[in-house]
Amino acid sequence: MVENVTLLYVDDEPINLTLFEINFKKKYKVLTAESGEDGLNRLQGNQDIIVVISDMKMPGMNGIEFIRKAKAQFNNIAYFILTAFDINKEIKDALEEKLINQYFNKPFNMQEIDVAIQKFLASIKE
Amino acid sequence: MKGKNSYGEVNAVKENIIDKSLFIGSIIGLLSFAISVLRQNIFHWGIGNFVDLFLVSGLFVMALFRKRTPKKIKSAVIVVVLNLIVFSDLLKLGSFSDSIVLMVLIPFFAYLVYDLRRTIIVFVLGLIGYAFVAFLVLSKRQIIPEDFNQRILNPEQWLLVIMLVTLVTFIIVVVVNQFIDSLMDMIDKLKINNKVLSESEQNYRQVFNSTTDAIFIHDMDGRIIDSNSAATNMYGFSHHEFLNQETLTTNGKTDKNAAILSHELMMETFEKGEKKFEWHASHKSGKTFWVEVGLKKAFVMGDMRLVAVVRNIDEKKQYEMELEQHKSQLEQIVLERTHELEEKNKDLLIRNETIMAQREELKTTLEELKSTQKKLVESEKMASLGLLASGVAHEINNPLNFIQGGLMGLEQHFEENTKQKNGEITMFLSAIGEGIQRASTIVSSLNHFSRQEETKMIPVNLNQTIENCLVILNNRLKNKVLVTKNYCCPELIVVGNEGRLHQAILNILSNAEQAIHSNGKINIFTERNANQAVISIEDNGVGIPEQYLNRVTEPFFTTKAPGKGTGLGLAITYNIIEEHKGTLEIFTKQGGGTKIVITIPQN
Repeated sequence: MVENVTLLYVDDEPINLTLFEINFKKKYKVLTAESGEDGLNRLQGNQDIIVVISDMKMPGMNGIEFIRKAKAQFNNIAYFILTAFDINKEIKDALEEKLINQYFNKPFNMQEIDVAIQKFLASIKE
Repeated sequence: MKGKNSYGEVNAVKENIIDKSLFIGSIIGLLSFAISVLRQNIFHWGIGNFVDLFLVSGLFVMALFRKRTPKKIKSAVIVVVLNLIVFSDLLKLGSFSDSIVLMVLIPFFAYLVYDLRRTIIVFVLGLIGYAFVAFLVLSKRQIIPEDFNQRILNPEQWLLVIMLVTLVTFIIVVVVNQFIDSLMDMIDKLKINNKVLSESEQNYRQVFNSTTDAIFIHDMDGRIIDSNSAATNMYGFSHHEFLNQETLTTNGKTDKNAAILSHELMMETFEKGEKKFEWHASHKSGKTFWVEVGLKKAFVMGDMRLVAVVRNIDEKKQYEMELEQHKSQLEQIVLERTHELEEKNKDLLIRNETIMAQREELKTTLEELKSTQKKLVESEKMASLGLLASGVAHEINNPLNFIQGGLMGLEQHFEENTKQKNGEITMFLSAIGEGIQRASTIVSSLNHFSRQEETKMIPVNLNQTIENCLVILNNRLKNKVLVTKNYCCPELIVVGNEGRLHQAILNILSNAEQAIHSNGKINIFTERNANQAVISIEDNGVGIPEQYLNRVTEPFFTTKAPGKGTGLGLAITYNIIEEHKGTLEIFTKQGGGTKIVITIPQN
């Protein structure tokens, strides 16, 4: 089913942004940002973003830093990390703190991400 | 006999006198005989004349041989001759006899040879003789035919008489002279001797009194009969006081023991002749001092005495005693120091042992360090590798993402436009997908080395882990490999990381399966061995060639065809086992199968 769910995808690689958008626009509304800062701006401007997926390695703030800042302002959003890196301490801590709900590996598995989003949506409906 | 010590000298004098008298007497005898011969014609000689001749010649002979004749004979001869002369003349002339003078000489010469008693006897005999002759004449038995008036007018008579008197006088004078001379001589000698003796005595007395040591002379009873000045200085008693007390009291103790000891010492000295000993003496004032006594038996002052030479060794004794004290103190100190040194030595020995032990420890530690260094180097290598892997993984993952994204887009497109889709397109898409998968798998395997997450250590049942892995590999195992399991117990627990342990065992089982090309067996044993969990996985596959055996755990080392294996499986497994402080052993034979034994401590 097509949800009126707005996602924000943050990644410094434009190709990634394009690909993500193409792939997810069938199901969701996808907004993109090129950096953490950009992402924060986006969040300011779009209150109906309820899912944020961010890359880890970005110039300036990294993914976790961005999410930390974002969550401070918008903590009703589900945050995910999508990274080319293997899991590291920062991500692990973030998971433990419940700063992020889950993390995904690149190359991403669309199904995996989809399932995670659905899970979140189900949880907030209660 | 009186003056028996001067016997010899007096005898010599007497001898001298007798000899001189014989000489003179014989000369005078000859002279008087010559005169009488002149008076009387030889042819008118009577018996008297012959007797005179006999006497004179006898005297003469004696005089000649006076040096060889013993004194007694000479004297006897003189006495006899004189007697004969006197009595023959007495018979001839009675009381007018001039030879009667010679009677003086008879006892005189007798006394030279005999003692006073005999001399008196001789004189008395003479007197008796005289008396006899007097009796004879007075009783007219003997007639004196001589004409005395005539005789008086005879000049030879006057000469004879005076000669006799001269003779006697001469003899007496000579004798007296001799005696006086000898006496003087003797007196002189005596005086000189005396002087010498006196000087000598003085000298010796000076010597006696100029010693620093006290000298005592004791009689056999132990009484002091002489002492020198040094004794007075030493003891404080005067010479007189010494003589009035016994030695026994000139000592430091007035008790009986000292007296007994002192007596014993003296007795010993009498036996042995001499003895040296130390004694505690006491001064007149009562102060005591130590002396060294040399006691000797000697014939002194006319008898056997004990001569004692006493030296004041008080100072020396004090020094001795001090020395003894110092010596014992020193000995004590030496003992103490030795003891200290021994203690210190013990200490040092202990320290030495400690040092030796430490040295051994250090040696061991050095070995350990070397081994650790080796491991660190290996670790560094692995770390570098990890870093590399991490970098590479990331760099590859991104492009993979692009490709994946693109693929997904294309798949989506062909879902929507199935008309365009054909077999080839499907294959292309599938190929791209496969490529991504493989690349991704490799990258994720690589990521293993850069994984720095803290492993959560929880109790893991290894038996269960093995079961899980068998399930995962089921597809590859079924119909090809017969798996036999021998679990020691329902649960074989180790504390570790579940995921990693799974991975390790999965790798081993996977390798075992891949070693079997057609049909084969895998035997799995687990057991508990002194707090260690032991897993043994054995296959009867192709085995590992010997030359590769020590390289199998090397990262990226593989004998499989490219694409068929990363070469990281055993490296990763080895790493995981090491993380869990366990060991991995490989037993293999080319063509004969491989057995991997993993040992992990349970806690």
